[in-house]
Amino acid sequence: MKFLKDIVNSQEKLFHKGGKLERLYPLYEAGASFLFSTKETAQSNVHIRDALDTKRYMSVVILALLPCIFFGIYNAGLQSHIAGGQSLALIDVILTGLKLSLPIILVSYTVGGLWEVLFALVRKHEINEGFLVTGILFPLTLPPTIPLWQVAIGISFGVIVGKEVFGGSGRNFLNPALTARAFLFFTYPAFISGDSVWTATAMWDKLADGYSGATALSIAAATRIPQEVTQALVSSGFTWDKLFWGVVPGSLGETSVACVLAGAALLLITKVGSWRTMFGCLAGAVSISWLCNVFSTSETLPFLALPPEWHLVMGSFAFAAVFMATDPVSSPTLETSKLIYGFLIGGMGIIIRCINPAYPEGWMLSILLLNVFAPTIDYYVLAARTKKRIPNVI
Amino acid sequence: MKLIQVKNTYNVRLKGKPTTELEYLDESNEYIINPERIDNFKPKLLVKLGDTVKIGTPLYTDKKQLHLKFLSPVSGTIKAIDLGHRRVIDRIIIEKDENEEALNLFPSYSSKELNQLDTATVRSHLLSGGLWGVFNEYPFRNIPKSDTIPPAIYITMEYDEPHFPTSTVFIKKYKKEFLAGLSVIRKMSDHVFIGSSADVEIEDPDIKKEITHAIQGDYPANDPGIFLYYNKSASSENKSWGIRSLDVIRVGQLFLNGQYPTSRIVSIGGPMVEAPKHLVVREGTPLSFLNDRLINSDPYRIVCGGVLRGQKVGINDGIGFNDFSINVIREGQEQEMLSFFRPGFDKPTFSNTYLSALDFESDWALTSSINGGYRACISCGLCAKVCPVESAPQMIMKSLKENDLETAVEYGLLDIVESGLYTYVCPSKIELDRTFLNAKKELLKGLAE
Repeated sequence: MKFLKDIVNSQEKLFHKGGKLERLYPLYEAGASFLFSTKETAQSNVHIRDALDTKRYMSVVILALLPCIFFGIYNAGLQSHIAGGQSLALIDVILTGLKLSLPIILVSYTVGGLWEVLFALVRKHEINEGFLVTGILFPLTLPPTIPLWQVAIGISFGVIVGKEVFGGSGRNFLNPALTARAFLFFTYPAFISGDSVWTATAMWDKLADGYSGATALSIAAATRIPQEVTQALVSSGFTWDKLFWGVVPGSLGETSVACVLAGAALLLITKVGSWRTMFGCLAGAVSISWLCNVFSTSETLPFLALPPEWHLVMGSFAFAAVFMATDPVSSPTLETSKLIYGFLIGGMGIIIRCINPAYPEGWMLSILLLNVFAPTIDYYVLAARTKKRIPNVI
Repeated sequence: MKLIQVKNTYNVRLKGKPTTELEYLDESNEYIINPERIDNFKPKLLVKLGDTVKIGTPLYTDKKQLHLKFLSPVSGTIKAIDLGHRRVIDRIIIEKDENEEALNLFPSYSSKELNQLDTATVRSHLLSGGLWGVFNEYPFRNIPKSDTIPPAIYITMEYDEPHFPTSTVFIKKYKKEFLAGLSVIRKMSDHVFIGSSADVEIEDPDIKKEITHAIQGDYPANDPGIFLYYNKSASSENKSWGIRSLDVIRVGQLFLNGQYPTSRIVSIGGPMVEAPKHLVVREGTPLSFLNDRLINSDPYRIVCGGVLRGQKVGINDGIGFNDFSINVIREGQEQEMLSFFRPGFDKPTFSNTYLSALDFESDWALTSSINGGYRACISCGLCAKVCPVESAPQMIMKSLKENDLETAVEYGLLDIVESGLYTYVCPSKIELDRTFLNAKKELLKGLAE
């Protein structure tokens, strides 16, 4: 270890001001600080510092995502084997799953990472760890059949337009992973839309390299008689249990509510994810879907009759509420605002899901919309709080 | 007694908490004064090399506030005046005489006579007695001008920053002085509030009956500025003054003796100190006495004041005018491999991201390492969770980065006491406290002009 440490430290002067590789300092900093903790000491009057840094912060999010990642890989393989009528042995399924999902994750990390580094070098600032999360969140929202070139284009758009043009990490008002997905969603709607889902099959040499099937969302939307919407779901194979455990076709990471809940538990225990945002989303989704239930008759859209507990396990609600809405940078920063923000996301998502026939799933759109409103929510909440203060001005 | 519940406080469990043991430190031959260590202050020397001084002889003043005089804590000869970078006065070294002489600054008063004093006399005695500087004027925490009348004075008994003396150690010993100091301060303002920590039982009935408020909460709940924030009812009180118990004792000593008080209680603590305890020392005592009190020879940092807002000093400096606590921590320069990826039983954190969060008991040997890299603000909101004045530090910081002082002030910049916790908890290692202090300095400068 000491040997490696000496190598790292001996190269440092090359990257400092006046050194030959001065321009590559962000790269050196990223590598060195990944391997070894800093030797920098406090220079202000605050002489001690908390052990938490952004690396740990983001690592916790990645750790929380692991169940979703692992299950996503397994499920991609499983759905492919079911569709292709192949062996359902665990090892085979996992190998297929890896074959399907690893390239997507790698492309996302590599292409997005290159942009991130490029901007850090030009802007001469340290490489922010937030990208480690964006780089994995994005692929988890994609179906396993997505062409890799689309992954590359999507993440490029997400990083550049969603983040860097506004000043980089910390100044992005949109969630970069969702911006990336939204770009693909509107540019190549045939590949991800939410009403049909592409399941990869192993028949690559045959005519089709995948087949598309209805999702739980499209079945619920297409049912004719409101009272039968749950029956329609069950008879198509989407039982509540199946949806909860996530053994249904869908995007890589979103299907299993159980895995999302495991991640949510870690985020809540470590206080990295805001319980207010998650609770707000839940409350918003439950109350609006319940409201939809109240107003649903045989004349209204059948989706309105779907009970709240079904809404919570379908589509990507859980994944969006736990991992997407809680992104600290693009959500509001005050605690009261987070409750409002979460509630509006939950409500808006259900409304898009139930009522808007063009978009069967609403979370990406509702989170991006509320991202835009986050500073406004903060502004009014803070203004209300400032009013209560005894003014201390000069 | 009213109870004040302070929100969003935090106790940093730093290793090396001083015991209640009191040690009298031996007299030194030389005493060291560091004029530059007083905030918002441009010292001007009143003595020169070779001068003889008595206890109470003015040593230096401020270039713009000539009413402020800082007096010599020792009688002897000026042996050296060390100038640093840009002719900053680093040190005044005074060689002590065998037989010391003290100036009688004014006639001494008995406790009873103190009650008959009038405001003008009290103020002039404090100025000539060299203790005007013990008051902080809010919101800038500067030393007040000689003609300002405080709307209220806030006194707190406890210091909750690690590691300061607790009142249980000194209040019994200095009861008379404390009560004398209180009656002097009561002459300065009609509204004097005295707050004591709800966790500390004050046994002495004479002192207990003086306490007006019990303050509940960890650091920085017992800061006079926080006390002021929770007690004020109108914005006219924003310019109140603050003073803490050990300074009240000094004021009492000054009036009871008519001479400049030289000895004081100082705690020594921190992870690097062997046998942390309390000392009775003289102002100006060289810190070199710490040399044989460190647990090992690792690189260390001496902090005068608490570790969250004290000043870094050298072993060749002396105990200063405002010092009641000396902490020694290790300079944390060693590098650990994949540090952020470990379970972290030994990594103290305000959040719950390391397993150290399961330990509710241990004290931590914190070092001066910044434990991370400088990054952009990710709006995690941790700073708001240690903001006792219910403000939004992250938003104030962002306003200040855009040079929008007005918005920052509107959001509560001037209520903030820079406790150091904002910077302590920040995962992006942003110097929030320094940003706030600099902004206030700028505002104060603007006001003076």
